[in-house]
Order: sequence, then C-alpha cells, then structure tokens
Amino acid sequence: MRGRAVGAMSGGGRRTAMRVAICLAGLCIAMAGRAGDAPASADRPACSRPFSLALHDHGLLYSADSATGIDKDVADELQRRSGCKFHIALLPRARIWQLIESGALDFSLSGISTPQREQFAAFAWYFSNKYQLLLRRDAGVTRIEDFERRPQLQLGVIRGFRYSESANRLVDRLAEQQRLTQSSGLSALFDALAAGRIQAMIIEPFDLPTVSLARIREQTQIVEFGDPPVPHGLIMSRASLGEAEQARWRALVEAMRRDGSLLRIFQKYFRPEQAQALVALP
Amino acid sequence: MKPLELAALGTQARWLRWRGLPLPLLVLLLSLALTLGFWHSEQQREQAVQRRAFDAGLRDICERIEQRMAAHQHLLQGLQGFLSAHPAADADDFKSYVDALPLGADFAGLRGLAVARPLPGGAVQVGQLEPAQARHAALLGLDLWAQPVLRQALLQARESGRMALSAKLDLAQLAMGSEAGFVLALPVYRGGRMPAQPADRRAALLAWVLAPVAAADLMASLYGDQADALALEIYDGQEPDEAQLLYRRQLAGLHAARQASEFLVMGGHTWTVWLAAGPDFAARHGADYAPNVLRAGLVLSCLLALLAWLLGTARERAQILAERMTRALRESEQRWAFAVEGAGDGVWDWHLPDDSLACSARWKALMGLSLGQAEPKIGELWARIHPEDLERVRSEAQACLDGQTAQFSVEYRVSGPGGSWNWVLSRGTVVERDGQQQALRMIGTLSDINARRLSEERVRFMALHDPLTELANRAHFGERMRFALAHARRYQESIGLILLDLDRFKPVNDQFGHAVGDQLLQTVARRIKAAVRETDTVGRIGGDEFVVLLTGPLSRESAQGVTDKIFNLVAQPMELSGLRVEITCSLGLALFPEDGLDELSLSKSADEAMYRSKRAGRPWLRDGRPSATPPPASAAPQPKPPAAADGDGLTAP
Repeated sequence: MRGRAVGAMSGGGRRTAMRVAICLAGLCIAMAGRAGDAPASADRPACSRPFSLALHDHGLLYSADSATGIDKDVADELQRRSGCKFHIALLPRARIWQLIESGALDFSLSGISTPQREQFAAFAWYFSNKYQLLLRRDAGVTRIEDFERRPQLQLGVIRGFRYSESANRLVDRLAEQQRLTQSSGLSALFDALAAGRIQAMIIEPFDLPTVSLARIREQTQIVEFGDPPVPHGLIMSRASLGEAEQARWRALVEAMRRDGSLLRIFQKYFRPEQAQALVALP
Repeated sequence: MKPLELAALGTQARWLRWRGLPLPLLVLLLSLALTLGFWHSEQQREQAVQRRAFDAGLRDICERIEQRMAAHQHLLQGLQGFLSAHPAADADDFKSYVDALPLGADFAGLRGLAVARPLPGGAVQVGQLEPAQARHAALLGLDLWAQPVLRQALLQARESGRMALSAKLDLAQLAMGSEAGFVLALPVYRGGRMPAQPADRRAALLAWVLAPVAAADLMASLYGDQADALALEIYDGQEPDEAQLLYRRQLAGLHAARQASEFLVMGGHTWTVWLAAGPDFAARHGADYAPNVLRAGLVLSCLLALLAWLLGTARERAQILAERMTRALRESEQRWAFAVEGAGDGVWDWHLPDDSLACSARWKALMGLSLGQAEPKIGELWARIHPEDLERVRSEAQACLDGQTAQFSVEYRVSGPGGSWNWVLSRGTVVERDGQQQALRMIGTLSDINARRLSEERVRFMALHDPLTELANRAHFGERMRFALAHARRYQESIGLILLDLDRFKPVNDQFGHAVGDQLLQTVARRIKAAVRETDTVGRIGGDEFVVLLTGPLSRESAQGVTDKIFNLVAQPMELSGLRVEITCSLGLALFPEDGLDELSLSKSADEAMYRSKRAGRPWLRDGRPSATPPPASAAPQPKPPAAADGDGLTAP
C-alpha cells in the first residue's frame, strides 16, 4: 500500500511532498538550532528570584552616556537564555566588588580573578585581554621601569581594579609611594591624563575609542606590559549563588561562547580579528 | 704603692679598656643593627598600616558620598516614577508624595525636592518645591535655563535620561541662602520611557525633578570614624581651585607625606576628593610603636654592650683586682715583716691540722735553727725548749688553743749555741677555728728577751749580793738564815752559823791600797766558798766580816771541820798584784738549836765565839805590821784552829 501510494503520486504531488519534507527538515534543523541556543532545562539556571546584576561605566564594556556596551549585551543575552529577570544597576567597580562579597549583588561582568576575589566570587570566563600603559609623552619616559623610577609621575587607576601581573606589581609599588590617583570612573582618568594631573593610566582594548580621541592620542603613547592576556568573565557571588547554580551559569556562558553569540557581541564593537582574539581564551 | 707600679697598673687598666672593647663593640653594633633593622621593619609595617588605613579612609569617604548621592538619586527616581505614573498629579499630590518621604538626617543637605517644567519660549521654571518654605518662595519664579550651570545640568539630564549633577553653585542663585551646593536633576518623560533619539527626548520631556543640596550639610551628615584625624576637601571638577571648593574640613599640622586625592564620577560630573592625614592619624594607627622600639632598642643595646663588656673583662678585671690585692697584701706583709723583724722579733704561723709551722728567718735564728733548715714541725720545737720551761710553755699554748685565754704569752729559754740557753718571749693568738671551735691556725711572734732577762737577773743578784765578792749581802744572808731556821725547826735539823773577821785587815788596806785590799777580800771570799758545800751560804756583812750558813745534815764536829777548813784556807798565802800576803781570821761557830734558837741568838753566839777566838790570838804579822813581801811558804806562820762557840775561841797566830 505504501509503495503504491507513493508510486501512485503524481509529479505535482511529488513536488508537494518534497516541499513538505524540506519544511520538516528545516523545522528539525530549526529545532535543533533552538536546542543549541539554550541548554536543556535540567542545566538551565533556576530562576527562583530576580537576580541583581551591576554594570560599571567603562568604555566599550558599558557607556552610561549611550546606555550600550558589551557587558550590557552579554547581560541581555544571559537574561534571554536563562529566562531569568535581572535588575541591572550601574555602580562603581569598587562598590560592585563589595556587594559581590557581601552577597547583596548576584552578578557583574568582565571581572578578573585574584586570590582574594576567589574567596567570595566565582567566575565564568568568556573573554581575555591584555593591559597596556597609556603614557603621556611629556612624562619623559618610554619604559615602565623608568616611569616607576620617577617619583613625580602619577598613575591613575580605577578604584577596585586589578590588572595583569606586571601591571599589578607596578600599581602596588606606586601605591606604597603614594603615587596613585584613584578614580571611580574611567572618564575622569582620561580627563586627568589629558590635563596632565596624572602621567599614565592603564588601559584595555575597551578604552581604545577614547584613546583614539585626538586630545588623548596626540599627548600619549602606549607601552606594553608584556603579560599574557588575562581572562575576564561573569562574576558570581559565592554568598548568593550556590556551587550548582554557579555551574549552570558557567555552562550558560560556555554555550554562548560555543555558539558564537559572544563573538557576535564583540564583533559589534571590534574588528573581527580583534573580536576573535578577545573571545579566544588562553 | 710605687709610682712605677701605679703607672703599670694604669697602663694595664687602659689596655684592658681597649682590649675589652671589641666584643662589646661588636655586641653594640650587632644590637644596634638588629634594633635598626627591627625599627626599620616596624616602621615599614606601620607605614603600610597607615597607608592602608589612609587608603581605607579615602575609600570610605568616597563611598559615603557615592552612596549618599545614590540615595538622592533614588529619591529623584521615585519622584520621577511618581510623575511618570501620574502625569496629571497636582501640587497637593506632589506635596503628599514628598511629605511621605523619610527626609531625615540622611538627607541633611537636601533643601527640598522641586519639579521644574519647560515653558514655551525655552525658559525652565520651578513649579513646586517641597517641603515648601517661605524663604524659598523666590525660587518659584526663577528661570533655571538662564543660569548656565543649571542649564548644563538640565540639558545633560534631558539628553542622557539619567540623573545629572550640576557644577558647584551658590545656592543663593536658587534663592536658598548663600552656601556652596549643587543641584541634582532627573528628567521626566511623557510615558515614563526615554525616547531613543535626542530630538524625541526634547519633545517627550515633561519636567525635571530637582534636588538642590547644600554641600556642607551633606558632608556633615557623612561624618566618619576618622573625621577628627583626616582633613578633607572636595572640589567640583578636577582642579583644586578655591573657586571650585565645595567643602573643606581643616586640621592643623597636616602630615605632608600622607595625602591623596580621588576622582568621583557621579551624574556625569567629576568631583575631586582630597584627603590628608592630621596629626592624630599616625598615633591612632600605632605609629608610636616604632619610635619606642628604637628608643628601647638603643637602651637595650647599650645595656647589652655594657653587660658584654662586664662579662668579657670580668676575668681580667678580677685578675687585676687580685693582683692589686695581692700586691697590697704583700706590701702589708712586708711592712709588718719589716716592723716585726726590725723590732728583732720572729714570726710564726702554726697550721694545726698538719702540725706544720711557717716562720720567718728571725724566728729561726732566735730558735737556734739555721736559715737553710726546713721549717720544723711543732713537735721538733719542744726539744729546743729548756726542760724547766717546757711544761709551762705547753700548758700556756694549750690554754690558748682551748680558748681559755685569748692570747698566748710566755717567756722561756731555748737552746742556744754552745749549750747556752737564751730567753725568748713568745706571743700568739688563734686566728682560725673550725665549726667545733677547734683551733686550726695560730700565729704569733717570738722576741729575744735574753738581754732583759740577764739584766734582770743581774739586778736581782746585785740586790742580794756583795758587789765586790759576789757573796750574799746582809739582807740576802738574813733571808737565807730565816729560811734555814724555819726549815730546821720544822724538820728538827741543825744549822750552823760561822762568823769570820779578818785579822788586821785594815793595815793591809792602808799599806797596799784598796785595790789590794779588795783583791784580798775577793780571794778570801773564794777560799771561804771553796771550803763549804754548795748548799751552804757565804755572805759578806761588813768590810772584812764574813758569815757562813751551814745547812743540811750537820753536827758540831762537821761544823767545826768546816770552820777549820775555812781558817786554814784563808790563812794560805795569796799573791795579790805581785805581793805575797798572808792573813788570818777569827771565826766563831754557833749551832742551832744548841747555841741559839733564832737568828739573833745564833748571831750573838757566833759573834761571841769569834771574839773569843780573836782575843785568843792575832793573825800573821811581820814585825808587828802587815807583811808586804811575800814570805817563803815555810816562813809563813801556822794558823791556829778557830774557836768554837762552846767557849773555845779561835784566833790566828
């Protein structure tokens, strides 16, 4: 019967059947794709409550002026994939770490690990980047060692920030000499650098648009620390999220990396090769 | 001490000072190095603690400001939400809403919450300020857009859709009294959502909610833990310009090296927070420990060095001290030895446990020992002491050893050269005893008293004897007589008394001189002594009168025999200064008890017997005068026997 029925099909019916088959196949592929977008429900974070997530104003990661940025996109994608509701706030970075430690804040983004932070925070890595020293040309030095030797030179840093190994060492030494100028925001550091109140600041790729502004570019030079890229990731408060919950969020971020979602987000702000380099974790 | 020795000691002391220096110096340097190291380390630690505390203070004040600004933002956001949700809300609704807000001490600087609306023509006017105060009424008529500072904030808020922080302004610009402050502005859009495009935002803008804030009051409400130890200044913008000063908390005596500034980015605006440590800051964070470490370390280092010097030079100093004491002792001994030896005394030191004796050279000489002779044992000394004195010496010594007498002092004779005996005086005392008070050591001196003793004996002899003939004088003879009588009476013994008178002695004396006379008397005395026993006593009681006391077993016959013997011996010719002299004597004998019972009666009986004898005849004469020429022995007249007391008087021929 089946053979006959098939064999009894007309040419038009055969085309119709083929279109149906293609549609079914497309549906299957689409369903498969959908399955790739979100983890199985067993691995999905439990949205038992609305979560709090804080952004910090830092160049391409998040710009309060434009209310856009990589972290904002990542946060949106996390919401979309998890189905959980996030209360997103804009806070200074130092305040974010304090709230993460206390458990008053569940998440933040683009965080790097230190032994101290490992005590109260867990991470889900999704990109890495190098740090550089943005140095005023009139400081009279071209090397980091020389900068350290000149006691009159001040380094601007954002309170609560840590960097790569060499950069951290420089910051710690200058802190002992009281040669740090702290700031709660990046824009103030660029202003201070442009005005000559500080002679250097540590930058990341997310700061390059500001660096490329004429008032900065013309007065400064970039010096490499030479450290390997430092992984950045989703910051999860150990005080508010259990190990299992952390693992689900980590899996969620990993899925975003695997399916190229993260790359696409970065590609919105960087050239493809730059974006590729950033999301390629060491 | 001699100058040379003093100089040597001084040199030694100086050398010791320098010689003892390296170790203490090393200890001092080491201690100081450790102290400085510890002090430096402690200072570094304190600096780190202070740096951390200072940094924490800066962070704390910045966080307080941020959080307070966030709280203000929440107020405005609430008001924003209220107005968005109730676009038709009137003044009473607005007032009710604001009145319901808990605007307490946490919003001390807040001068109220206002709503400003854009007017046609571009002006922006405050429509309402709550809580309403009469003195702020002038604010309601102000065109905020006409003031650049406020216009900038309003514009920024409208374009960003977020809270904007104005630059510093004098609140007098808002008719709120002259004080430094700022305004927080938040836009309210129709529909409650910020349009994506700037042009749409302008069109959709319904109002701004404003919060004028007095900076001084705001900061006063942020009074921190270290407010009295940290000076604080807050500037609008990054320029620390007096014109941009929002707030200042001054302290006297700021720590120049402990100050820092931090940029606060809030509401799209930057503040500069400048902080400096006051004089109390360091002390509050344990800065007084390092100086104390340094002070204590310096003191301890010096003490340690001193201790090291004392320990390191203890042996040398003890040696020097011992040498000084030894030298002083030696000098003292020398002085005493000189004094003792100079006085002619010897020194002895008797160590009783081993019976050994240490003695000086003079002691050996006095004891009749040779200088080269080894120091004798005490037992050997007893043999050198006169047997008559030995018992007395040992007794005295034992009494002192037993503690019965404090001093040992005894005179005795020791054997001298040639069999002589020399008198010595030994003095001593016990200088060391054991727990049972047994004498362990006795020291003393030995003095030569031989001359004194001989002199004393000579004086005593001279007092009892006739100096010419050395026979007992009248007093001595009388004493012997009385003693003999007492003895004789007690033991019923006999004694005999012979009186002797030289016949014609005076002519001899006159003719040949006193010297010959004296020689004659001496010769007669010797002859009388030769005629009697040693136990008998011969005395001279006058110029030519002699007496003899016969004691011991005696009879009249034996006594008469002695008398005869004396007579005969005296009558023997004698050579005196080249002269031959012969003389006779008259003798009288009396016996106790037959002739008398006492001295007087005996003497009388003897005297009578002698005179009978004298009357019976004269001694030898040549031509009726004493002969000066020695006659031949054969020519010498034969003496007659002396007379006895029984009436037979003896007389010379």
